Amino acid sequence: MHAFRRTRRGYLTRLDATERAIVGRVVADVATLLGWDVTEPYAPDDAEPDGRRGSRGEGTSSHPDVNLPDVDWGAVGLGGDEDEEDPRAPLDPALARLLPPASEDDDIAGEVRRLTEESIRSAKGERLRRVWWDLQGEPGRLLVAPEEAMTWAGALTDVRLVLAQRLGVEDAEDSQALEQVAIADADEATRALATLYLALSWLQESLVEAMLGELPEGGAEGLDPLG
Amino acid sequence: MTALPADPVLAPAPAPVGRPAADARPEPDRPWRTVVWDDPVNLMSYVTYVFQTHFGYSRERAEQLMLAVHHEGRAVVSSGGRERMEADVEAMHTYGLWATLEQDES
Repeated sequence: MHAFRRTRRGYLTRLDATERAIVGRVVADVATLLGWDVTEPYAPDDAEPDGRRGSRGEGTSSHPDVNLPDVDWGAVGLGGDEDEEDPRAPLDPALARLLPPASEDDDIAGEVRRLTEESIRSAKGERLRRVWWDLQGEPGRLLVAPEEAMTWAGALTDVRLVLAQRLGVEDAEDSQALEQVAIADADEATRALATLYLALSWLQESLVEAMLGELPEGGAEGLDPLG
Repeated sequence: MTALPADPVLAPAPAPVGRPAADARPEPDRPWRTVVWDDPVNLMSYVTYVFQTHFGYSRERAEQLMLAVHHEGRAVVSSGGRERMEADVEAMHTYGLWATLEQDES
């Protein structure tokens, strides 16, 4: 796994076959949680992910911590249950983190949920699907076009939110303890999840830092919502 | 630092839709606002990026707000009519940030 860096054509990283398989797996799991099937192919007329994006060549890992254990990701299980009959917050805590209440007032939260949940689900699901297809390219270079950078950053956020919830991360202290968890937890699956979380955090940080480098420092004049 | 939205223990009883409660003040006098809450997952850089691109804030302003969320547990990031605030909260949720809308008390 390589840090993203800005190139003339977009944001470039390298992911080997194992890394693509593991990240693709959790991306698909998170989409399933949202009721989305990432494997659904794009129609020919869609802006299809560029199949040539991944080019040949294996990169050696430049991130010392990314040595993802060979675990049964199906058994680790990121998926969860949801009560389809319940119009309120999702029962699965990871899904609830992806689709949080929009208000501390239950009635307002319910109203806003009815109005917005479907579009939030679709946006997140579609984002994960696009990233999943990007990961299906050949191992090695992976180029994310500038207009797709937010798709990747957002999808990585959702995956990390679910991983963090599964790891019981509730505050900054839990979050800081993850490096130790990744090395020393007694449970192999927990070590694997923590390692993956740290790797994806590092990968996302490199992408977003590069994206910030492309943004002007100034704001949009007259568009300040706080007046 | 955990800062989940608090339980709405003091939430007032719901008023029937379309019929304002007797003591409700006129809606237009009480603007709404979008609050973003701290969470242990979102990267500071990502929150800054979202504030800058979604709201059109300068880098400096976006970083100030991000730090306010981080250190104080929450920050008001926009205010205005309810529909616009609903759209802002929806956008924040789509980005994976924890946001709620609330109405000004005064």
